[in-house]
Amino acid sequence: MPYSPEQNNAIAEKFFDSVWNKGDFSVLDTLVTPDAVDHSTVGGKSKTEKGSASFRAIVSMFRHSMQDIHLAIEQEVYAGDKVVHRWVLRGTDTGGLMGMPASGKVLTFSGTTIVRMSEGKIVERWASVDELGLLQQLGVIPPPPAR
Amino acid sequence: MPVNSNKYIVLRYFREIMTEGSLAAIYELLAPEFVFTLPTHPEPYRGPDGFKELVTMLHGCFPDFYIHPKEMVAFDDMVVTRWKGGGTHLGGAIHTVAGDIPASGRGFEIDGMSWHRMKDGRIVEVTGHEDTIGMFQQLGIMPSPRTTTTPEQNLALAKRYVDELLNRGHFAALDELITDDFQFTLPTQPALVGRDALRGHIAYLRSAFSNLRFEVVSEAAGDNMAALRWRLTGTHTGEFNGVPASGNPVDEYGIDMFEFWNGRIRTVHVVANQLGLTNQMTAQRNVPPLSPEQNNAIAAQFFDSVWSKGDFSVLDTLIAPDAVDHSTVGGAVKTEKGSASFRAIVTMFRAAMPDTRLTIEDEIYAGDMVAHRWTLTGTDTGGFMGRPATGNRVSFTGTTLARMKDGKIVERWANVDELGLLQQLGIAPPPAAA
Repeated sequence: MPYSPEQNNAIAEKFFDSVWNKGDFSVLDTLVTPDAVDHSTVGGKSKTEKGSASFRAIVSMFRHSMQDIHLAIEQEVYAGDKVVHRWVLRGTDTGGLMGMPASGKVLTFSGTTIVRMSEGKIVERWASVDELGLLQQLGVIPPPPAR
Repeated sequence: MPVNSNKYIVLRYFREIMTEGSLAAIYELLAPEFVFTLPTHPEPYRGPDGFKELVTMLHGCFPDFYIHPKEMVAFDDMVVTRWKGGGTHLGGAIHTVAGDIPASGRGFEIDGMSWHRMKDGRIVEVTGHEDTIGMFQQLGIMPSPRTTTTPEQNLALAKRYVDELLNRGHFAALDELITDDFQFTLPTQPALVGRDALRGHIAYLRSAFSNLRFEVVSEAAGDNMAALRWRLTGTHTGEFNGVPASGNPVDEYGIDMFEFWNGRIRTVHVVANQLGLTNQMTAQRNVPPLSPEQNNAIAAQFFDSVWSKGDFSVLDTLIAPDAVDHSTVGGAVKTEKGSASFRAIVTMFRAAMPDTRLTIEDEIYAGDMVAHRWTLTGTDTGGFMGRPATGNRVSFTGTTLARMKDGKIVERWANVDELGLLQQLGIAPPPAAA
């Protein structure tokens, strides 16, 4: 009995909420298959790596930096075996990101993540994230021109 | 005497005296001092008695003689009439400036104009001009440049006009069917002259209505003339007479009258229920919501047209004027309405990379939402943001959500790997070595 798109979405929602908002990394093993592929581009580099190790590292870094981290899912589109979430991540940088000292800033940036589900688990991921906006807020890249 | 009363008397003159040959009407409508002057008659006809001779002669030569008024201008004591007149030469010889002409059995119909002067409700003077050369040509007195086509030939030509030009847009038949000096008239519209104007009109009609079809419901024809009553059906999918595409079905009637010149169509006069057509185009419909598949097809067409083809016309047809773009671009949230900034961004990209190509890698759609994951590629040969061209081959990804309503994009959210783009352009530091 294949999972319905609604069931797939509920699983994906639970996964992102557990990892990002609760720091519950157990779902990395129960809801992501060991050979899952992450096609996302991070820092200008394609990942296409298997499993959940790098995702665990990224979430760990953000949760270390931001005690009040919260990822809010703003839009959901799901059909067949795919689930699309548009999300906004907010938090106060009190612990430092990417080896930089804590900025103390409230950071807000958005992204859209697509996952492919199979038998109730995530088997592929693609994320488009506003990394430029994040780096601008951190002062790594010049901010957008004033309007 | 009001001018319309004068017009009425002149209408009676043409019907009762000229067409019916009523001698009683001659004495009722013409003043005693009446004078009739026509260039083809050496001496004016004077008084009702004199004019009786002319009317009797005309009806003697042409038992079916007629004059049909077409247009009238009345002013002060004058009425000017444009008419068509004709008949079949079955009776006596005609007395003309060219001498007496014996009966030939031929018919004629010519244009003419008459200038009537009125006094106290009677006609005191008529000066006329008529197409005497045309009459002589048609009666065989002078050689004619015009061949007469039969009713059957004329109907066949009129139907080819409908079938090949209107219904099929088969313009290769234009030269064969249409004269060089073709004229097309439709009430409230400027007249069209020439084949190219007709071609443009038909192409416009065919772009405004998909599945356009004219069906002939009645037909009539005579020498050099034909008429078709038609039913038009189609779907209003393009702008027509200022009414933007509605998607509405249309179903209306009209009449085309054709005049032929040597086997080609020289004029088409059209009168149709334009008001009914306009009402059908502007009627509000209960539009069933489009399916997710249809929404996706529209969104896919939109992004392909704008990004890969540079076709900006879809910015107006596929984006609602009050559409909201929630995307973050260059770190700034947009939340602006309409399509202006999107047009500016695409214009910038296509100027920098004329080979810009957006490939949709994945599409997920449900309800009124469409998600596209895409890759944009191109070569920086024009330079970005005032910078010199790098010649770099650029490839970056993004995911766009669109909310659709009534076949248009009403909201957009895009997340784009702008960092990757800036790195590839050398604007942001390259990614750290792994």
